[in-house]
Amino acid sequence: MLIGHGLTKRYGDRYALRNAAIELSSGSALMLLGRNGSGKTTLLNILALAMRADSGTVQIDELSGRAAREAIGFVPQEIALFEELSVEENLRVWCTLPRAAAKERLDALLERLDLYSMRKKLLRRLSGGQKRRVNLAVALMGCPRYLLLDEPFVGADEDSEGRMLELLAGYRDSGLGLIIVSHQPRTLRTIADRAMVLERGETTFYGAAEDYFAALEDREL
Amino acid sequence: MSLWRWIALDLKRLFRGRALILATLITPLVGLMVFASVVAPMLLEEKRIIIPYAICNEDSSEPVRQFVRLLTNAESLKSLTAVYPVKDMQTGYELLASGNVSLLVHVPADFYTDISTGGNPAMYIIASEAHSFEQSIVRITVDSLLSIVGQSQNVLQRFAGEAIDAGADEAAANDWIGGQMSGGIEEYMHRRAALSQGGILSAYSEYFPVQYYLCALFSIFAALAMLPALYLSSADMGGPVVKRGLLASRPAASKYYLGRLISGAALILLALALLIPIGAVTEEADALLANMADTVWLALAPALILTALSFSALALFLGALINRPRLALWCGFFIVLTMAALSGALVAEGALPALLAEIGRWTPLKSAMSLLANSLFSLDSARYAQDTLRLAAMFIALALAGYKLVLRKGAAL
Repeated sequence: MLIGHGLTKRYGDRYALRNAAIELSSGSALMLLGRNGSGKTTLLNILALAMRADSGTVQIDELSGRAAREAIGFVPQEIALFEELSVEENLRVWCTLPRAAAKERLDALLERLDLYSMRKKLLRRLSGGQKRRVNLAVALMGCPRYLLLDEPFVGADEDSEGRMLELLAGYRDSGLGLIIVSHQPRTLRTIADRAMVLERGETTFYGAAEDYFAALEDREL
Repeated sequence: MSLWRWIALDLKRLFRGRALILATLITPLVGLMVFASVVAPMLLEEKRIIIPYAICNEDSSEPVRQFVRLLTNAESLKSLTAVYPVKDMQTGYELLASGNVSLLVHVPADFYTDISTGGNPAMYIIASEAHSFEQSIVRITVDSLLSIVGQSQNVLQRFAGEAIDAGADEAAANDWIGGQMSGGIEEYMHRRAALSQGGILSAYSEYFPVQYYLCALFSIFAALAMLPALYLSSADMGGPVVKRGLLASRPAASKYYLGRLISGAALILLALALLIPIGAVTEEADALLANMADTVWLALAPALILTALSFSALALFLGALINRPRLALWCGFFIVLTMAALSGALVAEGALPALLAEIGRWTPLKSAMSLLANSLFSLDSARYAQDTLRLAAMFIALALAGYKLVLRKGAAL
């Protein structure tokens, strides 16, 4: 389980996150929703151990230190890769596996994400959609237990969105826990089983995704 | 990933920014070729720019005659001037008017008296506006020599004064001063090193400023060669390296830091490796061969490595401090210009206010200039050791500060 409890983060006088609590088990997907500035990215960064909360705890499967960090795969919203390196080199940079295992993992990932033919290409020569797939591949290189994705569908066309959803569903089914931040809840309807909504750092909804969509439909009616 | 693989990847990152790398390596060569084109034609065509000047010495004292000998044999002027001693100013003016000489140097009759009595000794350099450049060259050398003579005189008078107070004969003491001055000047004429505050080579020393400004150019371009590493480091601190937690553990952060320090230094070394052979040909061929003794190479290699590491550490420090790459780049550029100004690379150190000159002495660029000048053109072990220690201290301070910043960036849980 990935558990965040009592997470609070302030920037000066402003609370970006106030007393947030979240739980994610393996093989499930949680969609994290809210307007701009609601605290979604802050929460995700804290869970990904890329940012320190002012108070609260993050527990990842009884792990600590390096093992805890390696259990998390983080896909930031921006393409957080080295433009000067090739696809393969980018994957190698972030890989913590031993060399032989890394090669095997690398080839498998490139095949699965349809990147094998462009593995020697420099990242700056790829299209936006291709870069997003590499962005995802880097997060998956270390065989994480939990995958945190910040707006993975931004700028993606329908086709790319569909393929990405398919991939993520496949990873969820193989036991990965997913937290997906999005502005488009309906896109995640087929994949998410839990939902959390933030507004100005406060949690306004936390429960089953179906309940969220039912409430959404009621509001619309 | 091992440290060596990380360094190899980092070198790829740095050198794949082709436009920036080409600008870093080619622009200095262009600058150097423009600079060298003033001297290169002289070497290739075996012609020399000769500055003919007349000197009228109206002071018959022995020390002044020695001083005039010093001036006419000054290292910086020897190969550039042809001296015409004249009996009187009338003859000098005639030579000036006829265009046979570019300058007329006048040593007045009371020159030595003014020196001995603590007055204001003055020499006059007369030239038309068209020969103001030659006038500057001679004036620089005269200023330096007057300073040396004046300082020596003060020291000797102090000793003589002490001797007189202790009971020595005043006339004997004054004779002693005169004899010592002559001997000192004679001794000095055979020394290579100038006693100016700027060290072995400075715009005000005995050396023609070509060597000085050549080393200034090398150092400035070495400093500018740190900018690609600075840009990349700044981009990393605000980008993937932090976002993906690459710096989250101390070993990973240390690997990142070391990798960037080495790859940044490699680029700077490459820039210097291209500059120095080209710069070296501006020296006369036979003097070059005579100067390239083993000790010069032994001194040059550590000087280059320490210079490269120091500027690389500075780049990392600035990159970790300023997380907006373009802002970091501009700040880096202006810091290099400021260092150049304070170090005496743009304006002769002697012309700077004392406080600014002192601040400049503690910039990496100043120590690098001095180290390179010593290694390339004239090895003074004491000065070399002093500059090495100073630059090493700066490198350690910058490296520690940059490393701390990188660690702080990466701290998560």
